[in-house]
Amino acid sequence: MLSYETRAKPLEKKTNKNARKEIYTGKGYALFEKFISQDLAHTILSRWLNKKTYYYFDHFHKNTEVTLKTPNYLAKRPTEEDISLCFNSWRPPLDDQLSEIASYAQQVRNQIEERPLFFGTRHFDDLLLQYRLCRSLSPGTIVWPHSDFFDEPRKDATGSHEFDPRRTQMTLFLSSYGKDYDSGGFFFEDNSEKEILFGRDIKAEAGDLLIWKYSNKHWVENIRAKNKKGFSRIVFPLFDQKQMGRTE
Amino acid sequence: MRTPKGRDSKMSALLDKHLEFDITPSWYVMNFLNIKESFFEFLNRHLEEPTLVKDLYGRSLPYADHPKVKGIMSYEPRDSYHKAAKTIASKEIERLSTDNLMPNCDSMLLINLEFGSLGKSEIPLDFNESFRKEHTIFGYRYKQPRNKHKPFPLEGKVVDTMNEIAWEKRITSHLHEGKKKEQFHFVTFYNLAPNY
Repeated sequence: MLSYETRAKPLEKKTNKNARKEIYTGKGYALFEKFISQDLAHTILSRWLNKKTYYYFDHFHKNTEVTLKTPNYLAKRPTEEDISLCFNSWRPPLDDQLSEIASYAQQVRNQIEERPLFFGTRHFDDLLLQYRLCRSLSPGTIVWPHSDFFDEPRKDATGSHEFDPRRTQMTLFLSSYGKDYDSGGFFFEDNSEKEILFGRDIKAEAGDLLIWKYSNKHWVENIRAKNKKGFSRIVFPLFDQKQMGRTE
Repeated sequence: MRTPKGRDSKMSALLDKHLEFDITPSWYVMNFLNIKESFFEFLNRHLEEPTLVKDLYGRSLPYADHPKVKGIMSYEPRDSYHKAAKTIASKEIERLSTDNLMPNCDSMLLINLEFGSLGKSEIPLDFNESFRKEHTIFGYRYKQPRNKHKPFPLEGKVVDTMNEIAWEKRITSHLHEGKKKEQFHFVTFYNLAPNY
């Protein structure tokens, strides 16, 4: 029978409790294997790692300049081959399937952070979701080691970066360590400040969703790509509407 | 939990004590020490003698260690907060039953006004009709930054805003000369004892 009271949420109560425990007081992260299938991860990459699609994206916008009117945009850093396709959830979706995946992942994060289920995807929320499909092929440092929401000053922040240990970030892996790249990638300091390279030290492959404590140190570097997928993933930043100029 | 340099050294332990009972490191937990300070200022103003505090929906009771609070009877159906309060407070926290809510001459009643948004409550919604001049009864709100459409941003709850507004009107319906407000940095208190 269809009913609101028994509607399915992405996480069961027990799974949610365990994941929160892992993130906040355990290792600092929770991994949801096969959040999407490897076939779907491959399909998404095939669809978007294609220079013909770049036409649909605006030039790069700094985080501090993003507003409700900002279209989806593209960043190429540090080389022309290292790309980030930035999809703003408050704009009409270019890809309904990708939009649904991002929205579903956001619901998982909301359950973990104890927020309303659709928080971040509604125009009146204090924070708004962007999802970034990133493909890195370069061997240098792509993202410098830093902690978010840990009172560290940021040059190009999405909003206030005051200490907020509740905040989590998500990485949806679209390629696999060993198969698509065999060195470097996403480094993370767990809650005991031990350095982890996901994929190498902890199994994480295309299709897996990783939710991690945002205030822990993290960085992306030293990638050695084996093919054009390299280290591909989607990350899910939230933009603070105060910074975006909401007047309400 | 690791905290940034420059943050109060007690914050880390407080975060851990709340997390132990699955309480998210939300604005409330992050500002527990600030809320505590506001409560202490308020209680310094109002308590001259050791006093028993009866408490409704006081979460983890940031004021529990105030020297003039000789005991606490707490009605807190959110069990995780009750457990956290017992870990944090240096004194015994008793459960308050709904048939013993009214304070007497040497006790005080504190009501966290967010409870109007918590859905079904065992507390009769017209119990304010028994409030008298000789009682010491205060309602309070945290000064949490909030979306104007959501007066009480509760963690993990689907909030019924209309229910909140209706309840707040009801709990003050016996005050015919307006509410007396006392403002502190992190909490606003409302005197709910009528002045007549």
